[in-house]
Amino acid sequence: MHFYSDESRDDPKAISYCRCTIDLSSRNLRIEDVPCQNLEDALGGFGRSFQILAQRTVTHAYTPENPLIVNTGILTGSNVMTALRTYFSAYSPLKVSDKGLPGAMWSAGSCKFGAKLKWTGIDELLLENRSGEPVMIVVRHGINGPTVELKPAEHLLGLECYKKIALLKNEYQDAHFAVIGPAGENYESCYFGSVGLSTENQLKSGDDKCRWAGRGGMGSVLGYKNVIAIVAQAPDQVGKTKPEIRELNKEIGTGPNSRKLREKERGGLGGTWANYVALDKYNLVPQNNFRPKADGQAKRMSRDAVEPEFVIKAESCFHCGIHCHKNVYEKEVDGTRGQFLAKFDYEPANLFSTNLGVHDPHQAAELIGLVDHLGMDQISLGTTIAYVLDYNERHPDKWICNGATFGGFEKIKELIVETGRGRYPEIGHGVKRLSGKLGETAYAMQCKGVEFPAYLPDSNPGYPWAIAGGHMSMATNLLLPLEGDTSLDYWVKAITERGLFQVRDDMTGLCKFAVLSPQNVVQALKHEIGFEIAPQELLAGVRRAFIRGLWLERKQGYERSEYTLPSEVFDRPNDKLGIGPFITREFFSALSERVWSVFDQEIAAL
Amino acid sequence: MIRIRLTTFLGERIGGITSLEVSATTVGSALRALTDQYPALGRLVWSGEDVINPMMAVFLNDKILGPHLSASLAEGDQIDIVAAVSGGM
Repeated sequence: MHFYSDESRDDPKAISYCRCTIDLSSRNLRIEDVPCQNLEDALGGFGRSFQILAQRTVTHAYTPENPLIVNTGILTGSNVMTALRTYFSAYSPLKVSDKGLPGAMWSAGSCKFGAKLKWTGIDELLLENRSGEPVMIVVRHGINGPTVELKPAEHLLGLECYKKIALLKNEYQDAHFAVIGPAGENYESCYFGSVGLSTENQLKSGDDKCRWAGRGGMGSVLGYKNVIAIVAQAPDQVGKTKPEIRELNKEIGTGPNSRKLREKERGGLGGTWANYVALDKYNLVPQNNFRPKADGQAKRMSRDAVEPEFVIKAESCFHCGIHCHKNVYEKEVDGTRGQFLAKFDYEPANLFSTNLGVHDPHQAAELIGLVDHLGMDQISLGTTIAYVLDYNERHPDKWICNGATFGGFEKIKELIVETGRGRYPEIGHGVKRLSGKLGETAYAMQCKGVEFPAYLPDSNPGYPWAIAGGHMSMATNLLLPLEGDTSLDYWVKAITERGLFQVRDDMTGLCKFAVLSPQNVVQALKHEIGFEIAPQELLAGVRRAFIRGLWLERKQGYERSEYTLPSEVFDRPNDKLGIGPFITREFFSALSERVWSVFDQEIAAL
Repeated sequence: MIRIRLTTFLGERIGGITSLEVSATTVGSALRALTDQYPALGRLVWSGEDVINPMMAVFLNDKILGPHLSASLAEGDQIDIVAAVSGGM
């Protein structure tokens, strides 16, 4: 990205970005500088990609008309700690309105691929149509600017994500990689294929330590387009860090915001995994398809309970001081570190253990690792499998799939493998479609076709307004245990005045775990990019981008009635919860009216 | 004086303030001074009279404290108060 003029440092229209449009069908490539039209364009990520999607008419995710946009944020590849994000945006095969039209989605992933892409000189890849043969896109930094070419990728087909990366590493030095797994290759049967992004640690160790752009099936869209991998090859461009940014990085790495993610010996709480202990105080840890039993089983997956069984090492993305990756290794007889097993974040850890009735951490690690190998979104797969197990328990005489029920480790494992290999489309198409076909939607944990993460809908009436996944695009998922407020006024404000701003870092290139204040972000823009805007302008741009997401949902046929929760939340309140339940039909109806009275005006004014 | 550092999540409730100084002799009295000055934080910090919200974690100079906040303070001490849950915040 660059400025046209040094005299307009506060004007996003003075910024241009470098886009490569690739027609995968004709193999035509066009690299051009594109002037930004507004602040969202300049910030990048979904702020820009959703404006492209808004101009398209797409009736199915797997049609040539559906573009896939791979881009970075304005700060990606800068010296700001955590500024590593890559964004993948398209109309999603998974997110679907009741009219059958695909919803726009994005998914974001960290580590060095985004920085490498930025360092090639390319800010955005716009992938049009589809290739007739499996290809990989190779983007390189060149003396006269970036170069892009398409190369055959048959040799990668069928390989698990980390094995693809291991092969590519031998072919391309000083490069990082975005790949799809078998699930993305089997896109017709699996709508939640993810994109694996290589990490420095992975390139050295060979372990499956990808970072993932998981939500919304962007890996499946890549699979449809026959793009198996993207290579970004460029020398590192880490310049001298300015004192202001050094101070900001110190705040990110050692300040209060990252304490929950840091190790205990570094003054932290041990990662998102620590949610187990905190949420369990109110019996809010999902169990057996989001139905806590208050029977003490959730404690078995807390970090304190699991840690003696393994060696846990806190590792990190490129140049990040938070070390949020809680990587679990086998413990050898002498107590030393053995083979890498899986990365334990709260969401996959819960969705592949307690929420499936599995309480053995060794089994959970195996399941989590398997999902990563095959390249699937942990959240969508875990939540859909939980529904299958629930259905089978409710219908012992007419079970589906392989008849798996809660706690049935071997059968659950089979469901994962078969879904990733494209042999269980009923699971691979997500829980909205599956529950609709079975005629039992009341306990399908999704909204708008996107499965819920590991936070109970009973505790989060904000879920329906998330535009790209329930805990990353509407920050209301933890408010009930934190504040305990069940008033209508509180929740209207939580959704319309605070929660939506969570999508800011789906534009800037920063990781949400940095939790920078708006003031910090504008300082970073000023000192790293030379772009000078006020915090209020930043927030206004983020708000417009979010509202555009709601507008896009309306464009794709979403009706107000689809912004709701699974009906068992209303009709079968769980009396085991330590707080609430409080979401009655009357409460939710009143909330919906008031939230839309705010958002409708802004959608109309967009 | 005692410095209290707040996360962005807490700071946004009080106009973006993420660091302030109070005069106090114990951790509990420092947090009470904080919420007296900024009542909007009361519900996040406390779950009852002198009982910390169980979803919050309090650190004194990098050391996490238990639910009891009677630890004495010395000039220059630093307190961090953070949410003990994360993911999507």
